[in-house]
This record gives sequence, C-alpha cells and structure tokens, in this order.
Amino acid sequence: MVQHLCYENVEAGDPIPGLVKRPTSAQLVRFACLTQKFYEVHYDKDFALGQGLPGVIVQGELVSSFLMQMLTDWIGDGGYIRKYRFSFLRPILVNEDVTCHGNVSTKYAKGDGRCLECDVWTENTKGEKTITGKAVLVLHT
Amino acid sequence: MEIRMTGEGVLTPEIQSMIGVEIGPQRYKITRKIIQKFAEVIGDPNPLWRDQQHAIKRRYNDIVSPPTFLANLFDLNQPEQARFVRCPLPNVLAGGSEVEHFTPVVAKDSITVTGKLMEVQEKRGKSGKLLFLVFERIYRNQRGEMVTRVQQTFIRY
Repeated sequence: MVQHLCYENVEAGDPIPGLVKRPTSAQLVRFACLTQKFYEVHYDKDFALGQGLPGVIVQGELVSSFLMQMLTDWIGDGGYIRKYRFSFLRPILVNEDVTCHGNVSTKYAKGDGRCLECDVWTENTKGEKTITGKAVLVLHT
Repeated sequence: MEIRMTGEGVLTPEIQSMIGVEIGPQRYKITRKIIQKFAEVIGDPNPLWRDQQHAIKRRYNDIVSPPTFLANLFDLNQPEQARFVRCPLPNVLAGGSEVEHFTPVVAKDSITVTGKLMEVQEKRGKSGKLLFLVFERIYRNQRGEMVTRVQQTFIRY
C-alpha cells in the first residue's frame, strides 16, 4: 500500500496498481447476510441457471467494493474518494478471479481540491470487461 | 391487487405513482463493529476501517467507513420500493450505481436515510421489454450534513 499519494507525482495516463480478488461462495453468502439482500442468483445455482445466467453470480456491489479497495490502497493516507459510478456489463461468476484495473484519465485543481479522475474496470478470466466505472479522487497534497 | 397495464407498456400505474414520492426517514447508528465486519466481509484489510488508533492518528474521530459501506448496508426497508413492486417483468438486476461522498462517516455517527424513485424508462432489449428504475438515497449525519448521495439503477426484465 502506497503511504501517501501526492498530486504532483501523478500524471494523466498513469496506471493504477491492479488488484486480483477471488470471490468465494462463502463470501457471497456472508455479503448477502450482511447486506440483508438474499436474491437467489447469488447463492442458488439452479435458480441462477433458471434465470438464464451461466451460474451463481457475484453481487455487483461486492465487486465494486473491490474496485474501491484498489483505489484506497493506492491513495493510502493521501486523500479520499469523492465520487464514483459503475455500470455492470456482464455477470461475474463465483469462484473465479476478478482482476481490477484503472488509470488516471485527467487531473485538475478545483478550489482547495486536487482532483484525479480515473477510469476503473474489472475483467473476468477471459479478459472480458465485467464492470466499468469512473471515480473522482481528492488528494490532500 | 389487479395490475392495470398502460396500453402495451410495462410501466404500471402503481410504479408511476411512486415517482418523486419521498420514502423514509430511516435512522441508523454506525457502530465500530459493523464497520469492521463489513471490511472483513469485503476482504479489505485497510487499517483505516479496522483500527481506531490508526484512524485517530489520521485526523478522524474513530474508524472510518469504507467507500461502499453506507450504500450497501443502509437502505430503506420499505416494501413499497418499486424495484419489488409487481409488474409483468418479474426479474430484477442491478444496473449500476453512482455515489457521492461529501463528509466521512465514522463509528458512532448516527445516519438518517431518505429516498425516492427518480425516473422510470421503458426500453427494449434482445429478449423483450425492459424497465429501468432509477432510485436516489440521501444520507445525513447527526449534524444534518449530507454525507452521501447514492443513485442506483435497477432493471426489471
């Protein structure tokens, strides 16, 4: 984890250190319990197949948490996430690697804020994008 | 209850009547334990969400909630929310989210949530009609400050 990301050390086009996560069946169940959202596609294979899905799929909100971890790991103590948005492109299967990617698209100073706009996305094991998104980070220095 | 169709559309009068109507408020107390549990479940080891002394050294009053914490754990438990309302499209998928953070949320904060169905759009997909439902939730802390705004899209198919 980078201790302190500084605005002057970052340029548009810079890649963000990636992150690989492997959501397990147990993790999906624990996430469902914690969020109190028990949609069967996230734990019942027969139900998921009946919905036309390729198998049990990971909650999009869990995978977006992975993308946020990638960003907060990179920022360290240097700032915070001001805004983010995601679109879910493809179902993400359980027990498969999810690779988180990102790069800096623009940087600008606005008021007291030193802002980085970033493109972020996840890929499945076939290299297909599963979630795409954008995030705005504000750095302290 | 009978569902009356709007012509050939799937945008029922029941769903239409929900647009713009505020739901809530729902009040929650943010505990250290729930922040730590969320960090554990999403597998994020960042000490800012787990270690009080680490957070205090970094200008916070207590451990900080991770960026997706509020949106995922603190919803409006209202069965009337249109994403669950009956319509000819029985299935639902999450379509995407937009979240804005204005003020950090830390352990021992009290949060109030309100929300509304902002808009509904009928679209056509490969396998038929789709209904896109856009919800907004506003989170305020005990000082009345807006801490987070969440906009979520659900797709009925």
